[in-house]
Amino acid sequence: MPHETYLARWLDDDLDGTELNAFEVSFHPGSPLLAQRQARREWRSTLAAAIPAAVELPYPEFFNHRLAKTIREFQDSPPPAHQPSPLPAPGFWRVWWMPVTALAGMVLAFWAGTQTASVTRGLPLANPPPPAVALHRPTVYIPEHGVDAEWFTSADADAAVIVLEGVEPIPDSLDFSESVGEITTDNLTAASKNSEPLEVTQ
Amino acid sequence: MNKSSTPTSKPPIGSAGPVALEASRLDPDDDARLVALAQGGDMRSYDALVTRHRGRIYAMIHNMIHHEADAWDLAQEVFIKAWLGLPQYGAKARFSTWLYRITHNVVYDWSRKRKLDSAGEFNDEMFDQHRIDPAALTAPGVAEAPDEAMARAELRVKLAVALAKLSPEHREVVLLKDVQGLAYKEIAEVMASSIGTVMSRLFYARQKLQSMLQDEYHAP
Repeated sequence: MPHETYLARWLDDDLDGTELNAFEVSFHPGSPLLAQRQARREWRSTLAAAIPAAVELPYPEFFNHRLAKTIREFQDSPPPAHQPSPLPAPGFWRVWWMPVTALAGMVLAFWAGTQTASVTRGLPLANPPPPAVALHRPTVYIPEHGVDAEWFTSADADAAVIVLEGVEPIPDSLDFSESVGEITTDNLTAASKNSEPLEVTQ
Repeated sequence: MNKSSTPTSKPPIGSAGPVALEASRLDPDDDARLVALAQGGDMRSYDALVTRHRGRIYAMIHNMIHHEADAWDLAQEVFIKAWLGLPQYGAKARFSTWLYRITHNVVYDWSRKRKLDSAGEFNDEMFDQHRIDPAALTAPGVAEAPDEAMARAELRVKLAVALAKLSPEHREVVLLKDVQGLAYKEIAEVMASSIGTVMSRLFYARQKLQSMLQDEYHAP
């Protein structure tokens, strides 16, 4: 490795072990390169202080939960169908009868089309097919332990319902006007333990 | 982030923010053990790996694209691709370096797709300094004196704006070296380039950053 490369790596504290020992021995204590290295260290610490290397992402539990669900879906889905091997080059006979077969097929399709049209033209459909229902099932994330969720959908009603089982009832004593800013599980638990009715302040 | 499948409430304050330094320094030996288990199909080990690395990967993506929801989705994509690629991972590089490599590909694919979506015109929305939220999650969450906090917040915004003005390659190399602390060799692996190219990009990127931040910092 050229000397300049070592120097650049040394300035960035990128050398270690024997590389570092072999390189560092050539500097005397007053070398301007030492000051340069110190300046780079300060630069890195300035950047690192302003821009954290790691940030907890929003909804971290949901992040893992959704990831696990996606991976399970990958595992459950059947493996891709085996690709058939490329066909051998068509021989003389296949080349000869393929256009004839295609032509016969087109004629047959045209005739069948005229017959079908003459029967159904002008007749309204008694039972139109139902509209397609989206098969997508949403991810239902439940932050509370011991709570089960079931998801139902109705194409006729054009509605979806999520039924939660195991949610603790909200106590009558809970004053919503005081918890508008942030309703947490702790608020609810504390309120449920409080036997005295909360005073309503206007 | 896919809004249809995420909770509607904001996360409790304090759950998001800079990850503690101790937690962010990861032991490669632990990674190797967890990777070996995950390669055998153990989802709990992979979940542990995700928990260990998601903060760094999310921060890296967020600093590259400056969009919280997209960064969240792209981080998901990174870990899905990592899971699918686990059988091929041969521990030639550290697991974290391998993840950064996948992150690099995912972010560049995403940027390319955005350019195509904008009918061939370069969409510089993601580099728009006005989109950088000064109250973003990258804000340090430690208690500081008000004047220090303000000075730091100002510097953070200026740095973010200056970083956003760099080319994606220059921004990435600064983030990988000066923020994430990768070695030159690792950055070369992540960016699929030579060490010489990495050094050159880092040199010019720092020069540009320092010229933009001349009032703030007299750099090397």
